[in-house]
Amino acid sequence: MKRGHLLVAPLAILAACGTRNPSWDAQLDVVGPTVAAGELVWVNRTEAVAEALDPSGLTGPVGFDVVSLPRAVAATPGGFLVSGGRGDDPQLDVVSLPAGTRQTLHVAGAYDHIDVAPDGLHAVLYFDPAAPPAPGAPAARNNNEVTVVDLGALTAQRLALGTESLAPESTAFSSQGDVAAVILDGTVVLIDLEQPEHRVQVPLKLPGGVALHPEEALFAPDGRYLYVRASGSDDVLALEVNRTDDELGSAVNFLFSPGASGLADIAVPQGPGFERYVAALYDGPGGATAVLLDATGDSSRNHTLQLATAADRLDDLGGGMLLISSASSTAVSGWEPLLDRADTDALPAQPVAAPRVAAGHAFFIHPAVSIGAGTSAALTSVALVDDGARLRLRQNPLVLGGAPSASVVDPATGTLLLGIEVPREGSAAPGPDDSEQTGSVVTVDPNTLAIGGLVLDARVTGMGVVGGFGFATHPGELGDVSFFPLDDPTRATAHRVYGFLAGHLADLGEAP
Amino acid sequence: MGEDTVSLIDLANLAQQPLPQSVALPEALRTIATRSAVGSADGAWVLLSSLSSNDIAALDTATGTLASLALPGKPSDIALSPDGRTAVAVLRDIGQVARFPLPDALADPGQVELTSVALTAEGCAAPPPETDGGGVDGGATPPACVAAPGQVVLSPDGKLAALFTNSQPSKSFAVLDLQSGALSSFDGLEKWVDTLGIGPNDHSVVVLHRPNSGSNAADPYQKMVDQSQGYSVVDLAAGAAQLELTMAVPPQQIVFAGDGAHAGVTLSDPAHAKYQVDAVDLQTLITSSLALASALQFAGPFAGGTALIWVTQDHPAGRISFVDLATHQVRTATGYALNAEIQP
Repeated sequence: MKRGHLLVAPLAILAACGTRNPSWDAQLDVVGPTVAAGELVWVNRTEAVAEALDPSGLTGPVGFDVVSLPRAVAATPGGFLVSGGRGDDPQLDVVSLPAGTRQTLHVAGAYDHIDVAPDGLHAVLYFDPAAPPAPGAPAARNNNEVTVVDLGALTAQRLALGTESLAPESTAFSSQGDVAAVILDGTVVLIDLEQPEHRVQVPLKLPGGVALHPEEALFAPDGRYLYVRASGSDDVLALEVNRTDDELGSAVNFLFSPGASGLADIAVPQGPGFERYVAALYDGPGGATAVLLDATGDSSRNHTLQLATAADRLDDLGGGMLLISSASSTAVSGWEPLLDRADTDALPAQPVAAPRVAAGHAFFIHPAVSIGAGTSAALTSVALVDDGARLRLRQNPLVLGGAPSASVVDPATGTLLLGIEVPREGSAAPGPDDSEQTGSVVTVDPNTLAIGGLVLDARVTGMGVVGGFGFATHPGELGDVSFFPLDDPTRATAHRVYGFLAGHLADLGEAP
Repeated sequence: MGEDTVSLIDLANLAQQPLPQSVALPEALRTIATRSAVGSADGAWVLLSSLSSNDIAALDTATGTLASLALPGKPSDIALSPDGRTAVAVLRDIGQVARFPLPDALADPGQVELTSVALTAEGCAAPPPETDGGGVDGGATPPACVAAPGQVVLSPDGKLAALFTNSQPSKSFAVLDLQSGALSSFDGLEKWVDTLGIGPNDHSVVVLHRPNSGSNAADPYQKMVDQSQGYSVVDLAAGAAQLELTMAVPPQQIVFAGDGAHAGVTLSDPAHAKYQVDAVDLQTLITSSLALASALQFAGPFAGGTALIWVTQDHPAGRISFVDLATHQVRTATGYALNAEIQP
């Protein structure tokens, strides 16, 4: 395994010289990594520097100066955005990769959140009411606003929302990228991103003053509806989105399933036949109920599955199949709602987290499964199979050689990448190190269950996929990450880069 | 309707007559607990009756004049035809039904026509006496094994009056042709009558039953039938009835669709959060249950030859379902009160 761009040793020498700049001792405030334009990007908020890593290792880490007092970072198809600046001069940096070209937009506020539309043409900026105002700004600010940025024209338009809610909490974008739904604590504001002055407010406040707090918002694939799950309601709110060149309109309908209560999750299944449908999962006292709800309120088109066990999670497996699972039990069900077919089974043990889902498969990770006289961590691959007569839920358990610490699914192939902690001794990892444990990456092919992987030099704290490579982050404040090609994940092809977040320290020198 | 006055308000002439015109009621009609009133669809007439008086008061709303008509018994229920020109009064205390034209009968009480009616009652020690055309002649109190009707429901076209009672256990009702005076009775019900409605085709009747919770039937099935909620669909022409048991869910309201071929029965059980509309095919008497989400409020038909009806339901932001009784499509709009708050 190759090691790249080791900056720590020379910096340690510099740090030992004379009187140190206080930044030598301060803990770095780092955001990232963010996958942007095929590279990994970290933003060091302490020093207003962005570091970009090429996963292929052909070029070394590259640092960019970004706006002072950076607050948030978000990826775009061509690079990344960084918001920040003083309160009296708030800015948004638009950085392109790999060139690192930086363009600065002056915006209305030093925003705490950046959400980018899926087509990368627009971004929505908004405040976090819990974050303090930027230095130089008044001690109070109006959180009831957003700024819409046209990333093609590089223009920004501030929109005062004027709702009865406190502040935006998230945004959802139509898959076409033309409409943004700003989700506030008691309101949804729909914005036409191409004409931001066209917007409509949908207050989710019932007569009598009870406000429904949105917890999840999903657009229909064609953008015609926004489905909202809100606390305080067992109904799924369907906001019809009527966008024309002249205006943006909306109407709300509450979708229900008679007798069902305890709305726990919603999902928007993709594929033919699911137009105008949203799936809802109710975790009621007598067991869960899954319902495919017609968006127009035609309950005679609904499809219902009654389960005897509890369930609180709904995942779209694709191909018209949905997976229903629970964080508190081993029950798992597959459901093909349009054909009203289902199958239910029990996992070998309770999963530790929500399943990883891709390419028609779901992977459940179990911290402990009984193996003979002992226990072991394990993985269960679940898929739904149509055997011609009925729908069957197929399980394949795999025993893991260590405790999983991170996982990700390659969206292109469905391959599961699992970070596992293993003893350093006896592994291929060099030693000694500061830990007796090291990290190992296990890859699982969803179709064949073929297992591959490699041993890394350090424990794994996070995993991801970037530009045909898998990556694993390791503990360490100065940046530590290993890359490996997804089509050949071996120790020989992997390389490790660490210390790249310390690059700025070389510029600090000694204190006067 | 006040305690001792009726106030007439001309909605088309509020600017010229902002204050209502008050009409004093006679002493016999001033007891609210025993008083009934019914108005004609065109607003021309209001009839008032009292359980304690033989007199019916007819208010001509155009002139504000109150006329009285003496009947041979005390009206337990009154009804007006949709055109407001034919009135029916059930005189339970003498087992008769009076029908008369308006306003002619007010000037000529001789135009009041009386028909004796007796309904088969539950628990008779002896079979009911032979009847003539289903009714019982004579003005005497009905025998112990028959019950006198106490209530009347008219058909939408005003041609038929269905007569029944729910003050006594009875599994029968009678139908009076208001033009010919012909009376027929229907004794083929399996459960006690609570209320009923006649369809626009004049041969379909939907009967909502009341359970006999104290049934001591030896047959467990019969006991279950007695104790259940339910309703029956009756085809008068065929003499057939189809009982639909709804177990613990009581039927609430009957709605006949404008197509004349379908009816809806709303059912509501808040204790078990069970709400539904049963779609009734009046030709086959087949029923289908369609679930609704929340407690039912009101239901009604649409004009024209459609099988569509509407049902409003409890919801803080408003909820209404449009139910196609032919296709069984249920479309629900919820949150229209909230929609009013949507703003650009």
